[in-house]
Amino acid sequence: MEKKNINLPENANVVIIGGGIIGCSIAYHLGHMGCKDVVLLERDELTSGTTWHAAGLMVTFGSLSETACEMRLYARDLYNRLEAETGLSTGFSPVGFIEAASNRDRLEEYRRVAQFNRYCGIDVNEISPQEIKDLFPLARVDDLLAGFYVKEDGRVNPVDGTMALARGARNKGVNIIEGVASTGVIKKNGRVAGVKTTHGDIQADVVVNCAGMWARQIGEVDGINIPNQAAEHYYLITEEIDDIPENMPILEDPSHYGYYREEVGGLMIGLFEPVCAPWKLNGVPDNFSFGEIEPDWDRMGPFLEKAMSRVPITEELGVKKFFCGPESFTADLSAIIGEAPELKNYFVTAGLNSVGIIMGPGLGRMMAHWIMTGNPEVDITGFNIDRLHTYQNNHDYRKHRTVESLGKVYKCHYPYESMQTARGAKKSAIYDRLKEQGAYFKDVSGWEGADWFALKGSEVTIEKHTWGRDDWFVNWEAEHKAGRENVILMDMSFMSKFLVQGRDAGKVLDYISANDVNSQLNRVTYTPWLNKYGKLEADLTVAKLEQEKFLVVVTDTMHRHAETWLKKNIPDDSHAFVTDMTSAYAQINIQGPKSRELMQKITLTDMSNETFPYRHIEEISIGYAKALCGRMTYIGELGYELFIPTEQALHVYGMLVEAGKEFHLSHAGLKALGSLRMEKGYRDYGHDMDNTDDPFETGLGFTVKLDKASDFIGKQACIEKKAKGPLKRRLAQVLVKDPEPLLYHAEIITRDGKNMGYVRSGSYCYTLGGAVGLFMLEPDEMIDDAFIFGGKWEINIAGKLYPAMVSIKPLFDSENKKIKC
Amino acid sequence: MAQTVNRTGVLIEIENHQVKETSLGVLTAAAGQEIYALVPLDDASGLKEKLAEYGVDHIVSIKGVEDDKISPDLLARILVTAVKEYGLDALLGTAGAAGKDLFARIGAILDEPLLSDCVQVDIPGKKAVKSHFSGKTFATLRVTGILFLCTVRPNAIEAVTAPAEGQLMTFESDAQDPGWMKIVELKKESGGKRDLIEAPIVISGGRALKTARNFEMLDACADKLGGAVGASRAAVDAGYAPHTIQVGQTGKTVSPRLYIACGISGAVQHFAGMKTSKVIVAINEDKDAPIFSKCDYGIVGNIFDVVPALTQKL
Amino acid sequence: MKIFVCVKHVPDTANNITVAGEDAYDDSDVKFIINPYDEYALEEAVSIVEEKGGEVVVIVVGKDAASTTIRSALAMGVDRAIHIKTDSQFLDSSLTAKALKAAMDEDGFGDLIFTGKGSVDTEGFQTPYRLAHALGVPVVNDVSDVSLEDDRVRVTSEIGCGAKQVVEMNSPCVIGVTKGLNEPRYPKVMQVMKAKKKEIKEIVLSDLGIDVDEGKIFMEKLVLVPERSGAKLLEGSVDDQVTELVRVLKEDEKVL
Repeated sequence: MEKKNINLPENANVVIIGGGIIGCSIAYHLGHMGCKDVVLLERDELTSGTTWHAAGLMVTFGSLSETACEMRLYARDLYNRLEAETGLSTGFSPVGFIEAASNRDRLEEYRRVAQFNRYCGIDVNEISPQEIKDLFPLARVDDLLAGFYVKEDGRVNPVDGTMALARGARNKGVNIIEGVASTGVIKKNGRVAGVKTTHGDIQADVVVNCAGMWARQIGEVDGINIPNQAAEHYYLITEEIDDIPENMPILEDPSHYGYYREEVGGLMIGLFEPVCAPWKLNGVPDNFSFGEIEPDWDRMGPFLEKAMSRVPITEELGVKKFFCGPESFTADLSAIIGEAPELKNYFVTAGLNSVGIIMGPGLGRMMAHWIMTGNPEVDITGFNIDRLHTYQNNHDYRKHRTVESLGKVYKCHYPYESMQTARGAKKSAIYDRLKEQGAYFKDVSGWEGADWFALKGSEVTIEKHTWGRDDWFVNWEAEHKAGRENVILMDMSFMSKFLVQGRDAGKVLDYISANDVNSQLNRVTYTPWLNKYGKLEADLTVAKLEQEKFLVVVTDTMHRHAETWLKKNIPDDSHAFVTDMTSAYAQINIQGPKSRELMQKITLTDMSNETFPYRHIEEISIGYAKALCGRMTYIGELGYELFIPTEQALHVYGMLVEAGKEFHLSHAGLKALGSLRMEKGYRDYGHDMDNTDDPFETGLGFTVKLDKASDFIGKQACIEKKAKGPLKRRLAQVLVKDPEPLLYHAEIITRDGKNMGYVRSGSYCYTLGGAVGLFMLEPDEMIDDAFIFGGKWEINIAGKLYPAMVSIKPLFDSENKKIKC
Repeated sequence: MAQTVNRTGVLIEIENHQVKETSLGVLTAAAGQEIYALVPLDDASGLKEKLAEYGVDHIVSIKGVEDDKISPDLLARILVTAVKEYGLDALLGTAGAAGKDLFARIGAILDEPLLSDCVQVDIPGKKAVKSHFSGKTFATLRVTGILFLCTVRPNAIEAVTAPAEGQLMTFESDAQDPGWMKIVELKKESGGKRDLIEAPIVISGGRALKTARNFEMLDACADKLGGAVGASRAAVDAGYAPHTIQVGQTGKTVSPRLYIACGISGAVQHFAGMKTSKVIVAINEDKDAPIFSKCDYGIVGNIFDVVPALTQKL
Repeated sequence: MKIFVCVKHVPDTANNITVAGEDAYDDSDVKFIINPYDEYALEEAVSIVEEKGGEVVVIVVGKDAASTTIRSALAMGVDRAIHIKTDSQFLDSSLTAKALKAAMDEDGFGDLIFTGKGSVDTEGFQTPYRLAHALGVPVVNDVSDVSLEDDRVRVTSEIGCGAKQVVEMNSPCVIGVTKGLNEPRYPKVMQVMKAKKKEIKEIVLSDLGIDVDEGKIFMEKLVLVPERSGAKLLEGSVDDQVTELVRVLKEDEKVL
């Protein structure tokens, strides 16, 4: 298409690539926040990618993320008031929304979700099948157990909504230009310096890639990893229905793969089929605009039939349109958002997994704030771009994983489920041995991680997921107990490990870490890394191996985040170099009361408490191998972490297992790790704490050494925080007094009937004899002993209340006697 | 190797015994050729001045075809014999409803290729340019065949005077009606509105017109302009206008010299139906409406103020 | 009663077209549909046979991908299909007509032939005529009403300016239909799934004795219609704007 006369500015503060709901929302919010010289470049016409064919559901129900719930409420409100502000209607129609539960497992899930959503301010009511029928007369309800109804939810017209946001953006001076495609980014000194386009260059400080299904290939041009993948997405529109009931709400029944709403006098059925089809794995054509895909009736037939059975009249109606359009999905169903690790000021907001319309407004607000202040001020750990690895961009990975991603939107989200496709990408050196031991593996950042081990004679499989106790729980319990009473072996090779070396290594690490990590040789220190606002970026251990050699170990999910943070904060002229040693070292943990005895059997190094105290680390000999042995624990017992050169791991493992026979050494998996650490209240960044928390609220004040000689990032903020006096919110443990129920996430804790917080992560703690969770206690009053012990604590699990006990101090071995023995 | 084309016949369309404006453009398309105007009147002498002015060398009065219920098959056969009689190398017509039908019949009878509804014609090169894909593209097509058959989109080629002799002749054919078809009735539309496809000026309304009644405002303007009224799909779907005047990909394609779009946003689908108009004017309240980036002149304003004002000024 | 319906598989007019090279378009990513006018033809044929009994046979001349259009036609109630396969994007209408006739001859006598009045891609609007001539039967195009009498057919066709003519012709005949004839039905999902089981006879164009190289129309160039460069917005009060518009149209553009 020939271009019209386009006036491209030479300079801009921010260039947004992509004019769909995301790009226009970011433009709108940047404009409203007073950002000047913002340019949005749209390759063809606004909404011409995925936005134009989105179904337009505006639903606040369904998320177990506090961040997402708030954003959904914000979106609903914004779509409602945009017309008054801009003069353009968004087509927002609050017809209501019903989530239907057709079996017990769904009911359990939605009750949990409903409880949490209410906590977040969403007005959701559980209704009976008859009430569903009253609201949506065309539904078949004989097999339904209940519905979850939000009266104020409804739908929005995706094109109108986007145009209204665009108008709002223009009103604030944002320059929206159609017909211009970006062809790459101009880089200088490791940061963005401009954008190249089909119509010339624009010098700019910040770029935001909101190009939807093109985001990946646009990122690839500049070496940015954005592994989203387009897939076929369907909806069907029937012919008109005579006397269609008016004002029917939107009905969703994930067990039947469909959502149902009125459309132009007929019905629309939207589908999320369990096995889906990735589209254009090799890249979406540049000129695909307002495009559709030829629908695959054969593949979709069975799914359609199932979906139609929920609203039987659709079986008798003619099909006006069976629409198929591409939407992009990610490997883990979380969006891809944040500043790219590869390039400063290159931001990404893409891969919205079909919730772009719902999340667009809130994400736009967050991104605008992030760009303008450098701080997102929202928990980003769930969708940060740096959680994704480059191998996930591989053609085969995307091809195989996407097949499952789309369907997962509608699967019952059992707590212990792991993705089944694209498995086996990374295996530790002792994988085969673990398999022989009966390990059940799950996907741990691409590694095959042993979750639990099947006792001899039982199946290494999960036949059927449930919300209650699965068969394999007995294995988990045995491992947990072995960890407390005996000795266990855990493969932790998936942990991220970095060597930091050089003359300035210690100085640099001491500046980046809040704790004192540089004063003692052969010592491991647990420390948070804070940003200048005093909030947590990561938590990890730093071991000073030599004067100029340090080992940093951080959890797998924070791999690229920690690495990027580390590299970013090393001054250019420092003699400090970071090497990723994750593949170089296998990691095997030996933990439990008998661990010392076991270790002493295989090494000549004196492992007694005097010579090898808690937090000591040194290289030891085991058989023919040399291994780094650090005395640390994440389960709250006497224990050791071995870092073994990968090629020697099998050898060491063999020695450990042989020596372990005498002590009835058990293999233990991640479930046991989770329950053991939960008893001690050990934190897990990204699950119990995030970038909006500070170390004091999360109980890590002891790791912040305000009096150490060197300055550190966040010191001033910490000083100011401490000066503010008693903490108003604190991370605490909650124990369910009844041994029956299980805790996972989002269960609400109350004190004398008042909401106090919700479980961030939960587990079943066999030693304590009940489910335990970590939650951020946020009362309106002072948190002291009187408060903790003076009230009636309860916890709401799927709508039922249970008596509970709350503690700031660890519920198990709060004096740390077992660790230090 | 292209055959040299010398003799070109142009089928002239008549209304109230006058040469239709649209036929003059077709004559211009044949400029440079030896032009035979085929006139469906027993006596075309009254048209000599006009036809000669626009380049006609020979004016052929075709006898016996003035009956408005004449079978199109018979008319086609008569024209086929005229082609033979005068040794015509090319035959051009107007791509209105009648012309398209007639020429398709001629093409079928002779099994010669037909280029229909063209916007540019190159008789010596045996080529023409016409729309493909409902106005999205232009295709340049070349034909090989003995007779170059072509219909021209009404108003696509601007009529230019080219004085010529206009020698009068008459022709009577011996062609036979195959007799298998008969026109039994002609129903004229009441009101005699101008045909959308043939009108030199079109003024269209969109959903912003809000009622069928409001289209009368456009009728008044069209009358002053000497044009026809069209509608966008949104207006038709909403019931404000009949689908017979829908302009757009699923409606009619027009190419007037002036197209005025009132209250039409300019979505791709509508635009394809009129994008080859010579001049496009848009009147819309929304300054960000897509149509403003696709037209020649725009007025940001309320159509209910602007259109009557325009009607008054004309 | 046996009715043939000739249907074309065309790119959806709502989508963009990408030109490939000098003289072709990229048909790999475009959404294709039944030529809209052909839908009215299908609906008419199926309705007639529902009332009077018989069978409807759809014939499509097109690439392999045309099978989706055939499936849609079968879902509407057509009994069986003939797919004449070709690799050409643009087939000369004379050859198309010859192919259709050859297929009809081979399949057997038809009482009626319906087509759409023309296709929205090549916009030639002449295939029904060529087909009728090849078959030696009458044809009326742009038909918006059909009624069948014993051995005659009465149709109403549009002749421009909103006027219509009523024509009687002998059958068998070719009827090219347009919008307004009927409301094409929307097939149910079950019918689409069942359509898969209906018979599709596949014939290669050359097997009908048709040589693509014998066509007489050649695509020399295909280009996208160029966009305008952007409007000149007129300023001032309504009166100012309108005055200026009239002046510009009269004096500068000379269209008034």
